[in-house]
Amino acid sequence: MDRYSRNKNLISTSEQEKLSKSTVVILGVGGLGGYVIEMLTRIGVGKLILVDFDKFETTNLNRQIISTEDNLGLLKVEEAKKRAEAINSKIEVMAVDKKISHNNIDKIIRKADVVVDALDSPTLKKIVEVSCNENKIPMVHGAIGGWIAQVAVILPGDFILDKIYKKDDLENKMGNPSFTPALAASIQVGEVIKLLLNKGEVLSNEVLYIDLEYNSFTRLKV
Amino acid sequence: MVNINIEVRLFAYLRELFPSDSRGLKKMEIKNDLTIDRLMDEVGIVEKEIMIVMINGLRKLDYNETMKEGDRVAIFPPVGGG
Repeated sequence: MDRYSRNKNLISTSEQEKLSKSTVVILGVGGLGGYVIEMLTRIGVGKLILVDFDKFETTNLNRQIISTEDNLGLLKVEEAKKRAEAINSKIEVMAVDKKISHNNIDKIIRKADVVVDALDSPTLKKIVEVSCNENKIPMVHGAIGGWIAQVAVILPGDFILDKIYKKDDLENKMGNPSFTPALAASIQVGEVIKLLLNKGEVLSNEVLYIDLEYNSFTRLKV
Repeated sequence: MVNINIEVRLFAYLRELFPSDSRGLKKMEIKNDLTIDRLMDEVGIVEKEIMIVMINGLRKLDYNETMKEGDRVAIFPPVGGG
């Protein structure tokens, strides 16, 4: 059996082929990014470009799936690339050790079919939104805080992050546990696959706001 | 000026502003000239400017607007962590 046989009931052979020819840029290899990389690697997206400037540290171990006690102090993108390649040698993984900015973002995302926002800074998220618009690339936004997971798809021509983040930086008063990043990442990956395969309905022009502490799932037309 | 009844639903850490058994939901009687801004003051929301305020499912950006009988107000703090 081939490695994608368990995908087949939802992803046809020709769709699997389409995924193998797709490129996804993942911005941020932290809580969200690690899970997004894991899932896109396993499902068989052909090219992943991983972007982060940071190194793993002890405080990442509670949630960041690529971090282990053995790779503390090492570059997140390099460690994520190693893991992805160990899982799936059929895909191409590129590690970009850079902090994104106005100056480099266009070049970083240029080849993407979809960009995944797994960043932890509203300021950087907004830079990505502008660039995705200019380059006409769909962006799948994700963020977490405490029990809350927040996901949205931003299609070219739409601007929603200014309506979510009215101040550039948010104090993180809710914390970062293990389960909300995995949840937000799963929903982000579902949206990526739908965008790549042009299937189903994407969360465009609305924000899915999940409050796990009270099990509320709300779609906000912001 | 008349009194009107509205429903206010708070999310995430804002729920703690209401009694714990309320699960963040409170029916409130307010004056009909009370603005969204003043409502948030009454509820005890400090960082009003960062909140996502929805009334009957529609986003409100102008906090000088007032409410009407039966309005359902929902207030969400956005998250930005990765």
